[in-house]
Amino acid sequence: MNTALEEELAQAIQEAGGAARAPLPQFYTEIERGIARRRRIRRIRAGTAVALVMALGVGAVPLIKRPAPELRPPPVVVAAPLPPTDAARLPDFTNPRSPAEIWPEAVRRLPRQTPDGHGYTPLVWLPDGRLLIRDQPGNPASRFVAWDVTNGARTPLSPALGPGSVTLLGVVAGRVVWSTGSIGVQLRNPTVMASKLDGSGTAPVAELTAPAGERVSLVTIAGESVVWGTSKGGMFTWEGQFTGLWRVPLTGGTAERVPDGNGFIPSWRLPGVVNTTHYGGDGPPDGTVWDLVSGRKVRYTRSPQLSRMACGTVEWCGGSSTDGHAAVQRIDGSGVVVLPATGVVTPLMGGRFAEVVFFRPLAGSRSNEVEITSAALWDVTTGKVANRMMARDDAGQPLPLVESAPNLLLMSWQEGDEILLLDLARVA
Amino acid sequence: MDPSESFAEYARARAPSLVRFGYVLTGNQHDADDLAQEALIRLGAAWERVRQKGDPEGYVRTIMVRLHISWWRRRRRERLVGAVPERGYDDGGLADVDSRGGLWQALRGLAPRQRAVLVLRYYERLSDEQVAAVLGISRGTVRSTAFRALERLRSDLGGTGSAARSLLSRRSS
Repeated sequence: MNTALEEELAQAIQEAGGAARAPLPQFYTEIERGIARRRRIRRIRAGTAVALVMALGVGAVPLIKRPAPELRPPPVVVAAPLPPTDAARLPDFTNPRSPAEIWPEAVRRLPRQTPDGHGYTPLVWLPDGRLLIRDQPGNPASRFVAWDVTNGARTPLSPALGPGSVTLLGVVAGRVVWSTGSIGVQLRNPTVMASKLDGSGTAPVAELTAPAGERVSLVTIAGESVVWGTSKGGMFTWEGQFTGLWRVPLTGGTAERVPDGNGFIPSWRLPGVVNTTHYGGDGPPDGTVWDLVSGRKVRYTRSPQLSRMACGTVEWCGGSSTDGHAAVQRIDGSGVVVLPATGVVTPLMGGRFAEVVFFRPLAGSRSNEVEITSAALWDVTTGKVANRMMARDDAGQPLPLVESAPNLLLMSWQEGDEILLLDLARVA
Repeated sequence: MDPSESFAEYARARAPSLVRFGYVLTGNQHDADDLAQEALIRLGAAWERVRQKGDPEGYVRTIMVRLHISWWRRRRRERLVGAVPERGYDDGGLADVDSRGGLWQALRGLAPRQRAVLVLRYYERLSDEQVAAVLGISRGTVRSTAFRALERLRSDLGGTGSAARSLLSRRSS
């Protein structure tokens, strides 16, 4: 160690480590349960492997192993037009231009600070035209504020949010519904809150809990209810067995099971929608998407050409092909379109738009890890493509998009002294 | 001693230290708890085998580092397709410890592998060869990663407060 920076760094890390609190008693209980679970799974896998060997012969076992993904771009394959658009002519996804150039009608420019000199994170346009922001992000005093950008008036909506990230956000029935608790991790039960848009108060809606031996998986806002899933097994809470859906009205009350909700998990991407498989491979090749608001249930089938896929209650799904390339298909598994690079496609805004993210192998990695090289927003109706990477973090990776309610999606980024807001709902 | 008893004893003795290690890796208490917990679960499931090899501490810390990087990558990808409105995760405890001109905050802004390299170097005091073994990468990659991470910290600190400027001036003097 030979620089002041390194010395200070070592001190800073030591001090930070000292600020960690000791594990709670539940920490050790969960370890015991986890070990028992792993041993149980190991026994089951061993039994399954033996049965497979006996049934298929030893030589069949290597077939189970998946080959490493093919990262070299293949020629574009268009098996059939992509609904709901004519996808015979794919747009050029290389070097997309700024959304401000592609969709100027949907981009607003605002100063980087509110009139009182605070930084802010823009979240969503409210139905009355005000902008919902998180004031002073990163500061424990941070809170939700409704900002009328026409006259500068700002109405505080919530108490101080503390330093945590907002993990759930929706605007419904005159309220901002939110949570800052980590969802999808162990050891805690996030509480969902609701703040009235007129600034008249905030009240808890529900503590997301799970029956003994299960855990909260994901949460969504469905109409005027908060709905969350429970699961058990698997390393991540969105893996394993989906044991049920629970619902509490936004006005509060007792959690009750959603009838027929067993086997479903809330969608990450689509508010109010639940699915029988989480986005990602390894699930069954077909399943059901259920829009809890409209009640519409749609069966989907994943093409053998796709390995991971996300569907809404629309006519098409997006994901990755078996060789790792960005791909889309019709909801029945037909009409596969494979894009000419490694990546993933995700439907947005009810299928009108898509997010297309491209990867490449991570330098120095020995385990097929990837890093994001480019990303685009694709209007599948008009074929226009804009740069999704305008909103990126310090590491150059795209920031998550906000779809806080059906068809309410905002992307923001900084240019000089301004913050630019793309509201996809305003794209002509 | 019964294996389950010896593991329980080990876990109780080492968990606080592992959580601290997880805390400096992840930058927040919740992820630190999860990371240490998952690593101890894996260690417990393989306790007899690992104990016979004589280095459960190295085993569990290696698991923590690799899990941290893979979880972050996976979460990042999940968030790309998710409705999580804001990135990152902050923790109230962090503001209390950052008395060093924003250095800890700057450290938290690094990519997980960069942060892991620095933590293993300056918290665990491992050599570059040992860091390479833990991360499953070459020594050259460790060195280039550390170099870029330190450059990034220097760059970040250049734009922050007086303590950082003091640190920079000390470094350049």
